[in-house]
Amino acid sequence: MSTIDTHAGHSSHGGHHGSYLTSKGSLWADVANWATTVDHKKIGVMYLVALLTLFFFGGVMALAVRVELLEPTRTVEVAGEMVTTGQRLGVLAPDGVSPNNIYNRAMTLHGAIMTFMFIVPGIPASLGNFFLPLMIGAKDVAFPRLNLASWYVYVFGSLFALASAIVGGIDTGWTLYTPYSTMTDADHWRVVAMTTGVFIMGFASIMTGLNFVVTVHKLRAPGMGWFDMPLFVWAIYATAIIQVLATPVVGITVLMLIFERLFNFGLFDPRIGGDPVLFQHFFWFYSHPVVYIMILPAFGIISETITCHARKKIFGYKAVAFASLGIAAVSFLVWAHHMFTSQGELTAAIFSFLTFLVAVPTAIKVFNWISTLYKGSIVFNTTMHYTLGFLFLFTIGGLTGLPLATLSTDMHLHDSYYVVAHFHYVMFGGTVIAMLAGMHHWWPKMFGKMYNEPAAKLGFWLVFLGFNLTFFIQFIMGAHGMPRRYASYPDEFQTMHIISTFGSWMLLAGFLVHLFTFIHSLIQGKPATANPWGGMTLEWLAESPPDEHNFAKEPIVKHGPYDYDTVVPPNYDPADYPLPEKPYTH
Amino acid sequence: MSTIQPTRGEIRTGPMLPHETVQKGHHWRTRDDEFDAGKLGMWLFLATELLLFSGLFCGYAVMRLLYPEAFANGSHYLDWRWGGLNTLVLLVSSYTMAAAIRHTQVGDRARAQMALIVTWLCALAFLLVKLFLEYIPKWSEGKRPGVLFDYPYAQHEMEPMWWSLYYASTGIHASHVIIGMGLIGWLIYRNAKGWYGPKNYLAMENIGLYWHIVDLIWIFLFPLLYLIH
Amino acid sequence: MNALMAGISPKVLSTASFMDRFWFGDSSFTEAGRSGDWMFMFIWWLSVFFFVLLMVLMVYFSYRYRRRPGQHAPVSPAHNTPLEITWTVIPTIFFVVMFFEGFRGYVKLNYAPAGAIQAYLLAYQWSWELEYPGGQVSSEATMTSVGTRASNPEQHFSSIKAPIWYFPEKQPVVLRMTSRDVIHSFWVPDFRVKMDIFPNRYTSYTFTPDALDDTAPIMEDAEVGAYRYRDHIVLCAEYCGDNHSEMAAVIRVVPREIYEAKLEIFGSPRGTLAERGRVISQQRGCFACHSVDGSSNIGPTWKDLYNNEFQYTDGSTIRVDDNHLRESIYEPAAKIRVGYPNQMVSYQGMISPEQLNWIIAYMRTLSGATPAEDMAAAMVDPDAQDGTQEGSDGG
Repeated sequence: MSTIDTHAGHSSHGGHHGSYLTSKGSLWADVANWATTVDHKKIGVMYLVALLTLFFFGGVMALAVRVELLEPTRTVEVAGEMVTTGQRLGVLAPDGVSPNNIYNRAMTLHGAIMTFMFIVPGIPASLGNFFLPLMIGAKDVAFPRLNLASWYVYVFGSLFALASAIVGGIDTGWTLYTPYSTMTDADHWRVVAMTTGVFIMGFASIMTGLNFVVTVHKLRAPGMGWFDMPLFVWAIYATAIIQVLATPVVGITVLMLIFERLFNFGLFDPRIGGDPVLFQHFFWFYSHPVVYIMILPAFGIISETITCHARKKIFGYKAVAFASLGIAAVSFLVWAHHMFTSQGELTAAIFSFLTFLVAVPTAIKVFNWISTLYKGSIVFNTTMHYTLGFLFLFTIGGLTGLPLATLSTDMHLHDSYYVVAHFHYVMFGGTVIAMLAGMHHWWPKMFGKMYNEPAAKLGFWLVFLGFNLTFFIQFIMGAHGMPRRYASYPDEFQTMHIISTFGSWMLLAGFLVHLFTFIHSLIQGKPATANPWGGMTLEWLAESPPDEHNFAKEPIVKHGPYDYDTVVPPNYDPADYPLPEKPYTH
Repeated sequence: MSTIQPTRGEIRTGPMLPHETVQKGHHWRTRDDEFDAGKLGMWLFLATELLLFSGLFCGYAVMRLLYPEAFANGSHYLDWRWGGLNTLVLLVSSYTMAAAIRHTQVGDRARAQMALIVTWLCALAFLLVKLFLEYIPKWSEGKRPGVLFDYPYAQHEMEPMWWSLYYASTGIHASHVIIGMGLIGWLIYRNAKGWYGPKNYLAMENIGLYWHIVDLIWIFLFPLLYLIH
Repeated sequence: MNALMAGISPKVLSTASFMDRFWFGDSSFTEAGRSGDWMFMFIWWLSVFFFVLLMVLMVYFSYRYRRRPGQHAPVSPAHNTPLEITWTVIPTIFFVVMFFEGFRGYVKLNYAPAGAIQAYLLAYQWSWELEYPGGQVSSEATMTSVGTRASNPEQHFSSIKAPIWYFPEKQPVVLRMTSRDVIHSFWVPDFRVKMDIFPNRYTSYTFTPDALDDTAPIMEDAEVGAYRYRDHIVLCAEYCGDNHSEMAAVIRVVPREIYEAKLEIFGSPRGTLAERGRVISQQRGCFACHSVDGSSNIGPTWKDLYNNEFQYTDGSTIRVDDNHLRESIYEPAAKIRVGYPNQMVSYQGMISPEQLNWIIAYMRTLSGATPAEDMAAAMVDPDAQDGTQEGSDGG
């Protein structure tokens, strides 16, 4: 009962291969090696780099949006300059387009990049790819070549989208609502390029999801039953199921949209008999489950970090695991709550009710996490800062969702800044904050280096305060009557917009601090031990950074993932890890 | 672990064929696990295919409810005999595909090869019927999708919509048939090299599953487009 | 929300509670809206309670059970069925209550009592046209603060004017809404409800504005006399393109007799041709895209348009005359001015030849056309004297 036992696996589990980061000699050999690798760890890192690049572009667009909103006018001079320069270059908005158009394009690119290209693949493709096999004691995902293909497909798809952005971008809003999206920029290929990019990236999403489902089913280490899996694995598993089942629907939807643009197919175009509400149903049938593709992995990360850094068994393991699956299942039944203001009463009532059903398992999870802290041994490192920050922000995000699920209040708040604030609290305050928690938690494992804790904590406080400054005020703005996607707005809101914009700059500063700490860590960080935090799950059994084949010997699971009060974690000095003499008994 | 015993009863000399020496992937514990995983992955993929087409079927259902006359007219433009012929062709190909897998499982490589070739030819026949007896005549008469519609004798203003759905659904299906032909061609090539045998037929079985789904989708499309008035 | 209308009507001293003002700026101006506000406040206080509870526990646990070197964590249970059932059931009960109350409020917001005024609303990029039951269209507009430059009000880019729609106090109104192009959404923040507007179906919007009280400002009107009024801004809430943020309108709640007097006026155009032209341009929403003061917008400004030469995308140079204007209004895509998008839809059938004449007469006055030319235009006007074409009194 002291640590995870290992045994000599079969012969194919070879000995020590060296870290997966070990150079192959020359730069070109390394590039060739990474470009053709089927190692899930390298693919995870490649995904991380691609994702952060796109996050940077999406973030620049967000900052541009916030700068434009400093003034209630149609546009500030800076944007006016952009128009003229763009026109001179002949790429940006064509002549005679209103200056609002620049804002609309920036707003659309921010939404499209952040949702389709950053947050949907986000955690599963980067941290999930890296840690899912490690956490179940596997050497790789089930289909390693498919995994590599998914990265290339993702990059190929995002190139389409970026090409569309570089020649001027689209102004449809990321939701691509017809008939506006079929009419705007007629005779131009930008919208087609963007939707084609989304279509292609759908394949990457399906490949990743399919791979993970099979991996979880077939590659768990000996001794690991379903309820011995870490909760991050449960969360990724639930996410993967949604990815597989929801993505084809958006695939056919954007394909129809592309046909609509190219041939005036008519399915969604009211001018030729189509129905734009049908598009909304199709779109949200995918895009609502997608919200859970974004948030479920975040739940998984928090379940890992909160237990590890509080050295405490998760409170209500099965409740948390089944809540993930329950959310995944109900997520397919709530799509029309995005359309309360365009529906008949019956549909609205049904979907309002179903939406409240999702709230229950989500609330349960938050209660469980906070109870996990009870009688823990809590350390306040950067990861724990982000974990507690997540609980704070996500609770606000969840509670502010209630007036949106309630029909009578949603009629007012729908499509206002209140909604913008709500989903940023869930998507950013939830997913991005959890991703940062995960990155700080697993950084030593991924790259074998520690980072500067005080600097990272400074980054946390800048991100946390900047985020709240940016977005809390938007709840109030929305309830006061500020509609979303407005390039100009009534003067009344200017003060609140200025506060929000200042917050966005603080947020930027926070991210720059993190960028600096991560780069500094890669160059000058102290080497990390195999298990710097005393984690209990299998990834801490591997070296930091892990060997090419993950584990020297195949692990056999003898205890649960969170048995912090009965077992000294693997690769950890028992002297630093006091155990109670008598474990808790029921 | 280095070799796999040849099938019992098979008397043969000469070097081992590739299918007899296939190794499991480095990250699998057993070849059975690998085989099961391949099957599970394929079924998940097939689920995504069904969901892709279910979007089209939903679109069809909604538009049919909105414009029943246009859709009734539309199906009159289609000749059920060509659709029926294609259904038959695909059913035969599904049978031969299943036969190819069966022959491989019992180690009869030559018959498997015959069955694969017949499957491939059926797929080709399907596409030829589609192209020369359906698409080209209709397109040249002006029965085209959406804005391209140019048929002077249309009875209902929503007929372009019908043709949009017709071309979208059969076109996406046909693209699946073309991909299937590529995959079956690859199977034929690999089978000629001796890659498939009783212990190694996962790729063939998975492509077979894919082919059955392509067939199944046509079984849905055929009545929806050709038969329901 | 009255603060929104800073440029239009003076700020009313609110009697709303602090929390109402914090969240909404003011309490709602309809009965149904106030019940929605009550619902929001119920959820808000419930949320505050749970949020504070959770955060206090989180912070307390984090502090109380912080790591102390050399000490193990106290042993503790990892699950507790009664507790878990409790915290599943209690939120569920609250959620069910919210659902039912929310649905009741929704029904209240969306159902009009009998005897409502049935008006017809057409939304288009980027304005609205509201027709009263008698066919009248409001010819009044106001400059909202939407889209103007706060620091330097003279330099606003456009002269977007929001139409003013008069409605009587305490009177239920139903708007039957449809769109001419893309999806829009009709939102009156003061009434706490919005409804999407589709190009291929009708949706409806219902409200019953509160009575005017003594705090309502007084409007001095030369035509109908002084009256109390209250303004509510209307915004488009579904993204609809470039000028989405400038699709404003104003619902002006007035006493019933003022409403009727206004409809009388809207139903019978008067004045010179040019004045009628200005009115009809306002009614047909021309100023959503065309300014009359030379500022740039979606379409060319009307200032100094008439009788001047411009470049067109087909390479031609055309001097703007009556026939060119007629073509540009009835077949806008035929000739596109360099530097402007092909955005405008045809107004064939929406602007009669007679009304077209008025509009051209109005444009002439914007180009410093001489009165003699105006006379000439009046002479070719086939039936300028018989006046009204649309509208009777009603309401």
